[in-house]
Amino acid sequence: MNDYCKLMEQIGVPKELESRVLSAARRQAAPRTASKRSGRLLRGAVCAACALALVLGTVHLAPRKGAALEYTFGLTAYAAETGETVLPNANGALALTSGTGIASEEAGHYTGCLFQVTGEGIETVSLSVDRGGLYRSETRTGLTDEEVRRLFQQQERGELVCDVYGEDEDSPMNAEVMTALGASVTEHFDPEVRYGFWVPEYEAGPDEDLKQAAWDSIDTFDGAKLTVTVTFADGREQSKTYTLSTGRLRVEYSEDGRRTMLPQLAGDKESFVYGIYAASETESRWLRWPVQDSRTVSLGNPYGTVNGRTHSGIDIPAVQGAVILAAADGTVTEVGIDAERGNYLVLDHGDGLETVYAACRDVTVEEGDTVKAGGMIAAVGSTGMSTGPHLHFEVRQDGQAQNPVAYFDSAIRDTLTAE
Amino acid sequence: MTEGFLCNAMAVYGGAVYRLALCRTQSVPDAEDVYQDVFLRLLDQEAEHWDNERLKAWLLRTAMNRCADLHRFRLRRPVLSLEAVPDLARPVDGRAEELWDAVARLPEKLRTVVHLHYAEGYSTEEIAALLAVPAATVRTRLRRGRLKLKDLLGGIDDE
Repeated sequence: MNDYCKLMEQIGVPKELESRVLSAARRQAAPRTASKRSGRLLRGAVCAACALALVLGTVHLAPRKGAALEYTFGLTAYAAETGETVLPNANGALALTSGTGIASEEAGHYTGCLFQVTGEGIETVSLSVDRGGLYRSETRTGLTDEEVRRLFQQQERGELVCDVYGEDEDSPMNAEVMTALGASVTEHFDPEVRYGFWVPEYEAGPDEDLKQAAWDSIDTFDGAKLTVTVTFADGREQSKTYTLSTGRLRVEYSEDGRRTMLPQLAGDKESFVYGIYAASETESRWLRWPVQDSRTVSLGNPYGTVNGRTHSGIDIPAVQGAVILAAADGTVTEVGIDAERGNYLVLDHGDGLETVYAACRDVTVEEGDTVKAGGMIAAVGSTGMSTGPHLHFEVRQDGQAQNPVAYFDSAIRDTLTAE
Repeated sequence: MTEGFLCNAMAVYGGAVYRLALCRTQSVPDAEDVYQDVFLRLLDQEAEHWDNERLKAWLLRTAMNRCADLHRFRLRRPVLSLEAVPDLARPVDGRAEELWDAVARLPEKLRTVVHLHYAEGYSTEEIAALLAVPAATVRTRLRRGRLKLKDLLGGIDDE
């Protein structure tokens, strides 16, 4: 009977079916919201793939201690569907989902992966990306018919791409205006402006799956670097470089149907959003993978709150006795045993960053020891509340549990499998 | 439900819904109608707490109900030839065709149980909850389905 399962795996949903349902859903929704949108079909087709809202978990941007700068700036992810901005996670990384993307062969692919520059006293902003391009996205409200006509004319001439919409027939129209900027731009700072990733060359054959085409296009930015430089009112300059990676970013649905974006990869059967993950090279603190010979993250007990139960770390299944390595240089602040965590130890890496290793068979270091990144500190076991040999691994910033996966760079994340 | 939720639900569980509908209705256009109907109904649902398992169960249950609704208007139950299924990922051999045919000829009650158990990997208890019948009934149907399949396949089925 396994043959039956194999046979069934060969049967896929017909390609057009998803977009058919989506357009039917839109027709159904249309009278309810009474919104009028042009360019909806094209956008819808690309969207079928992608994600809409982006809500990052409860994260806070902790000011780095000892920062000598008076002014500083940061990036926030922008969720086009809800108009919310989302702060980076505690490790300074942003998850940019492909929200309202638009693609055509003439204009290229406006991926909808948007971010904003935030900060005080900013005069000018320079952005550059070493692959693909960028675009500016602005919302213009209360447009007159004349202004709308002018926008369409500009669109005809290929100067911009716009999405015009209004509450009803008679009210003034609003428009989302997207202007391609090329690979770099320097301009006067406007806190309202969003910047997005743009792929100049977009091609999707008539037979190609639009979703796949959009993802392939977003993959242009995998491994690319985004450099953001701002000048402040006092004449100083600050620059940050972000390393981009693309992939299936995991999402969770909360009780009100809202989506929460987790900066981690999705397993095969998990809900996900395709998008760009941007990690700051200077602000991020990267950890080493803590278990030798296992690159698996348990799906059964993921980080976060599932069904009201909170898991403050990840579980890494491994063979009994596998070597547990220090994720970074640090000091052993606690070694102990309790009923829940079994044998555990805590490492302090400075600047409020701590890692916890639990369910160990035994711990080979003592309180007060100094450990080097990659040094052996314990062996994998199944102590405490455990059903099989694994390492329970936690990362804490200023005492708050963080998603450990966000602390591994893309080279490590790419090798992880979820089971 | 938001459109984003719908997109994701289709990406993750669309296949399961479509295959169940295809197995039950034995007709590609019917399966597509059921698929569309199920996901449009999902959109009308209140946005409450939906974990993945609950979502999948809801989708499959709704799909089964829709299939049953469709069947009320059908006098004769068709058997779909595997060749008529579009978008097969790989061409299938004669053995697979025989198997598909045999499953298609099972009485509906047995077929649903066999499909959910073998294609979707549901346990008998889970199927019982989905169909709102006792687990023992599910096990009986599964056993009878297996025996019948063995019969139809001339004893070459090796589980």
